[in-house]
Amino acid sequence: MPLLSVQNVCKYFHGNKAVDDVSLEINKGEIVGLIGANGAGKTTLFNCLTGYYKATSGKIVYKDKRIESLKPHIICRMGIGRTFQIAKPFGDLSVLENVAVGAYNKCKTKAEAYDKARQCIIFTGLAGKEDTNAGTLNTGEQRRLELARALATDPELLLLDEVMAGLTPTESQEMVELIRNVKDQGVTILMIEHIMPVIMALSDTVYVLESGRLICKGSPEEVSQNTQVIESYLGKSQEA
Amino acid sequence: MNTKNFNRITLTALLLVAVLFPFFADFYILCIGISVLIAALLGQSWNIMSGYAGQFSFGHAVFFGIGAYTSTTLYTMFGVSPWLGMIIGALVAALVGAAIGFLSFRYKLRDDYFALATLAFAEIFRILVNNTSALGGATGILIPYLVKPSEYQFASDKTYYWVILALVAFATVFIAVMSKSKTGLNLVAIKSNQEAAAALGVNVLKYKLIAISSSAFFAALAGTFYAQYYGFIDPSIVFASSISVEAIVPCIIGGSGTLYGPLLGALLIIPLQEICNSLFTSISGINMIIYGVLIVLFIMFCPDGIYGRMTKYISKRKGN
Repeated sequence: MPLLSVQNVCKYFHGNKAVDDVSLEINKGEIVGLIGANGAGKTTLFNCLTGYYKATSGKIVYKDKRIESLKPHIICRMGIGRTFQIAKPFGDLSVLENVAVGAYNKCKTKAEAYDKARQCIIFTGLAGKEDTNAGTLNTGEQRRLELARALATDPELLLLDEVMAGLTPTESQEMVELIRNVKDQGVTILMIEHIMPVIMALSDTVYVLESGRLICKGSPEEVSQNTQVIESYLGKSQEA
Repeated sequence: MNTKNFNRITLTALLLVAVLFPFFADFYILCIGISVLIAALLGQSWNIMSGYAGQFSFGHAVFFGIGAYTSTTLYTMFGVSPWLGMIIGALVAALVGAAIGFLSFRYKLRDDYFALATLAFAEIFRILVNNTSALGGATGILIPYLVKPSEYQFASDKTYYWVILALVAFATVFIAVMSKSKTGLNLVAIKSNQEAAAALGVNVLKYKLIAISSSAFFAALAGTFYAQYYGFIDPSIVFASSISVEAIVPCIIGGSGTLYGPLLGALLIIPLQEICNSLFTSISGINMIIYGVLIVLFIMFCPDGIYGRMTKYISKRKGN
């Protein structure tokens, strides 16, 4: 029984098939990678899974429940957390308050929520930044804050939308470690990523999207050797 | 002496000055004091939904007017004490606020479009009341002046001053408590980015409705006070766009989304208005031009408001 099962999901924008008949399954404890060129429909699929878009057709089943027409905050409450491709810190709040907003998802009291928030801040390596205004963080710190906030909601399934974007090689390396630690805590992860070494290092299974359609599924090694994938995603540079 | 103690002592001292003010002020200055406090209450009300939650209202007069008309009609028609009328009016305004919010947010009106919708609702109410003869129509309602404290009528302006001061204090304490709570965090998160807030489990619609309802509640308190203090209301006064502006300006000048910003703003803007009115009497309208220019200059050079500027300056000096 998969944790999340996506069945024949389509999302059309005025006839433009952004996501076209996509089916995929995520099992508990896995890290699943989702790759594809710009405009392949990765973020659109994320938005369907988290309630920001309503899928044109198809079923999304999470823990035996249909979720395709639920609102984002309900989906979050059911245990699906997400981060955004463009970090969205709450600039008028401190780092601690930012994370506390997420922690209130499951925590009843203020003390409990702030406690949980502090733990997540330490876990993501932001210790010492609690009282800093979130708007003044650098890119790397903003990425960690996104992750800390999402973790504070206590998700079972975490959707990461390009958490490596804009990070330096050192920061990426640290982020890879951090994601491993998240997995070790028992959180299942679906991640969109552009950087192949990151996908190779982290994923158990990889799905490849092209123009809204899934063209390949397999282990990172299988996918990276699939000629269709190399042509569509990595480009045809090998022929040149 | 640490900062917390220092803040507490300053606050107590300022509160004491505010409470004792009527003993040192002549009648004219006391009237200005009351105007300042009405603007401060409206400003705090606007601060909740627009300053903290980021949902701009151009039509706060609708809530002010509902407060004024509910307590006044209940009093003149049914003899209900305006003290009780004030609370009923505030609750009615909160309900109307929730209805306006629900309709607007349900149809995904955001930012400027939401602000325009609030403006439209204020106009709708003004025209409705203007054409309802049961509510006095365009002639308005004159409140019989019986000088009974049990009916929210006082012999001395000093008492009116203390009543409105208490209401402002109530609103300020409410905001102070709210801003540190889960609700406060969620409102500021929604202002920053409502998609990100929803992803963290925040029920965006619910919190926007909480913001608009509590904001409406306080604006209606100001409306009832206005009616009892001046003893006369009509639709073109209490549903006027100038009331909506009076809710916005103290907040913008003082610093929206801050606890004391609207108080500072009201303290600055109302006396400024008075000075403009009394100094430039020779050419009609010149006072408004000067007042307008001053506000434009203020927004150009101090967009965070005085309080926002101050806190930024202080945190910079602390080097953080």
